[in-house]
This record gives sequence, C-alpha cells and structure tokens, in this order.
Amino acid sequence: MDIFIELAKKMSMTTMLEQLGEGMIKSLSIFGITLVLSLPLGLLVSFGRMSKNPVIRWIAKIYISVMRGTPLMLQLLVVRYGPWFLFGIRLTSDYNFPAVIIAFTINYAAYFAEIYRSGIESMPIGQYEAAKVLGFNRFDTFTRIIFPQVVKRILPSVTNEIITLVKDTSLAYVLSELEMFSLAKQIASSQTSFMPYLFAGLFYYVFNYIIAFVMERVEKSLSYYEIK
Amino acid sequence: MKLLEIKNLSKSYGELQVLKDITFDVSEGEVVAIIGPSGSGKSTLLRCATMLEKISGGEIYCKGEKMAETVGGAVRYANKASLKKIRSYFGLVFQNFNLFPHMSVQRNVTEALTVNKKVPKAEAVKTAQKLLIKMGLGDKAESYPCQLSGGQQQRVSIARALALNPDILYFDEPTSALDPEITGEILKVIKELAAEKMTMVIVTHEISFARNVADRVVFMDGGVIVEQGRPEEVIDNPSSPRTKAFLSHFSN
Repeated sequence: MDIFIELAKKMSMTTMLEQLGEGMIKSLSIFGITLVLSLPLGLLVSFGRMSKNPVIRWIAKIYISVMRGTPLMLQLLVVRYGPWFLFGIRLTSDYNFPAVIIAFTINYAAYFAEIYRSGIESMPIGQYEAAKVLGFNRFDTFTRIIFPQVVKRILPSVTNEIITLVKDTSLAYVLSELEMFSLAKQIASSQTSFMPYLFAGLFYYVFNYIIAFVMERVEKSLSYYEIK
Repeated sequence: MKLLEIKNLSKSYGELQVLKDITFDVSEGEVVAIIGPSGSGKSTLLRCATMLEKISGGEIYCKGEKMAETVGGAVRYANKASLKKIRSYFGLVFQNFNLFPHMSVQRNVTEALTVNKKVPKAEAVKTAQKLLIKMGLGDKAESYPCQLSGGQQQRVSIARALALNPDILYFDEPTSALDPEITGEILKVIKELAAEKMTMVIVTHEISFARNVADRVVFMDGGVIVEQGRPEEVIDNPSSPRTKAFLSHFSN
C-alpha cells in the first residue's frame, strides 16, 4: 500500500482520477465522432472504388492506398500543419481537435471502404438479378436487399476495426490533444507513479470489452437468417 | 395474342456466339418447354427474354411492345419507362431460387408489391397469404428461407413471381437444384398453373414432365432451335438426328 501513501502526498487519488476522467471523455469523443463520420464516408469511398467511371475509381484507389500505406501519426501531422507548410495558412491550437477528427475520419474511411467493398462484392449476383426481374430500382435494390446482407457479412471485420480505433485514439497526443493516454503519461511522469498507466490500460480494455460485447449482440440479432 | 415474339435473335460473348438467329414466339395460354443439352443456349435465351442479358442482334417484343430492335447492326433497347412497363409483364423463377434470405417468406412475396407497385401493405399481405396457401406454405409465412427445404424455397419463389401478376412466367431449370424426390412437388405446382392457363416458358431437363405439361416442346442445340412442335412429335417422334441422339439419353 506504500504506493497509495506516496500518491496521497503528491496528488490525491481523486484529483488524478478527475484528470484521467477528462482524458477519457476526450478519447471517447474522438472515438465516437470518428466512427459516426467514417462509416458513411467509407461507404461513399467504396462506391467510388467500385465505380464504372475509371477516373473516380482511380481517385478512390489512390486515396485508399495512401491512407493505408502511411502512418496515421504522419497523417495527423499533415492535416494539422499541412495548411501552414503548403498554403501558408496559420491555424491556432483551436484547430487541434478538428485536425484529429479529420485525420482519423479520412484514415478510417479508407479501411471501412475496403471492408464494405469486400462485403458488397461477395454478394451473389442472383440477388441483383432477382431484384431486377422483380422491378426494384437501383436504390431500393441496394438499400433493401444488398446492404442489409452486407452488414451481416462485414460485421466481424468492422468490429476489428472499431477496436483498433479505440486504441488508435491515443495517437491524438501528437497534436497535444489531452486524451486518456497523454494524460496518463503526463501524470505518471510528474507523480513518478505507474498507476495512471494501469488506469489507462484498464480503460482501453474495458472499453473494448464493451464494444466486443455489444457487437456480439448485434451479430446475434442478425443470426435469424443465413446467407449461402 | 403473342405474349413474346423473338425475331432473328443473336447473342455473343466476344467471339463466342451462343445464340444464332433465333426466331421464337409464345402465345397467350401456351406452355412451352425448352429442352436441350447443357450449353445449348436455352438458359441464355430465357435470360435475353427477361433482360438479364443484352442481346447482340435481332428483335424482342413483349405483349406486342418493343423491348429491343436492331437498326443498322446496332441493338437499341426501348426507353427506361417502356422497359419498366415491359418488365412487369413477365416473372422469372430461378434455378437457385434467389430468395432474399434476410426477409421472411411473406416479406419475400410482398416486398416488390409494396415497394415497386405501391400496393398497400394489408392488400399485399392478403395476396401473399393467398399465394402461399396455394403453394402449400400457408404456415410458413413467418419463416425465413434458410428454415425451408429446397422445394419449399422454390415454391416461395414461384409465389413471389406470381404476386406481381405476370402475363408470362419463365422458369429457368426450376428443379435442377433440387433433390430428385423433391422435383415432383415443383412439377406439380407448374402443372396446376398450366391447368389455370398460365402462360409459361420452362427450360427443363425433365423430359417426361415436358411431354406431360407442355403444349409445345422446343429442342435447342448449339445456339439454334433444332426443332419444335407438339410433345408427341418432338419427344416421341423426333425428325432431327440431333434430337434423337439427345433423347436417347433419356430412357423414360
């Protein structure tokens, strides 16, 4: 129990948890906003990637290639400081958080796009043919017949990606965004204590545990039917 | 009245010509069986008639309305609105059923009615229930396709096609994906429809069934119609040596 006595001397446990709590909220916001934006953007990119128009297809292909082929940390820096180095646009630190969201969103959209594509391309052609003969237009065919089945197919890959996103939120520290991990690091060094790291680790683990649990529930809710 | 008229239809995939100068029509109330070896082009013919394949040459009319024609060597399809209308004249039953697995049996039948034909839901459900009872599936409305046997799934897909009240119903090898002992239940349904004077074109390998139910049998081989006529002529008394050779594989 020495460690707690030691801590009490410097920073009280409550203060530490309060500070970490703020980091937690920041991590959760990065996670939530990125997810809400990148899932639809990814679908849009996957349409581009599968477009009949070769120009659109190639733009999407290059976009995905760059986003997957370079480190997310570098992308964060480019989004934050690119406007200054490329166009001389000076942005204040107010731009840090939006920059984090933009970088995360465009990065994750690329991964989601490929997941959507794998799901859409694995759909049997017979589903499209049946829809066509029954008179469904393209929009209804996709929204009513194809997409619901795609969701079921891609759910496990999406879960993987979401869990990675939770852990990736810690990269926001390069833009001085005080999320869970950077705060833990800060407190740990100022207090010469390992406890903040343990809390941070616990936070990520519990968070991902909940996600895995929820996604399993969603998968189960779609198990009422089978896809050949 | 001619419900389907095909004139000089050709279909090629690159160099490979799978249909050569096919002329073929179907009158109202007629049941036509198309038989022939694999790769003879019989399924492709059906897929051209249902617009799942684009033709390479020739003309197609459905209920007297022009679906596609060839002018100066170029195939021209009718405009989108006309094609949409023409599409409502026919239904197609697939070899692999192609039911929507995420929808209940009932929803498989009602979905096109409510979404595409704007039929009120209650009315669509009524139609579906009537058809499902007719198909012997009255108790399966809430089931999902994966819970049904192949024969039951195929009967759902027939109900789904009938729900849109087509003038002509096409069957693309409706029993080929089924166990032999289940084949009979589908053939029985088709026979019942024939008794109701439903116009049907059936691509099939069931020769004895074709003889029983069809008004006309068409024998195809190598992308052409080799011979056609009443079943007792084509099946029992074929004039072409190719038909004879093909039928000799089926010893009743």
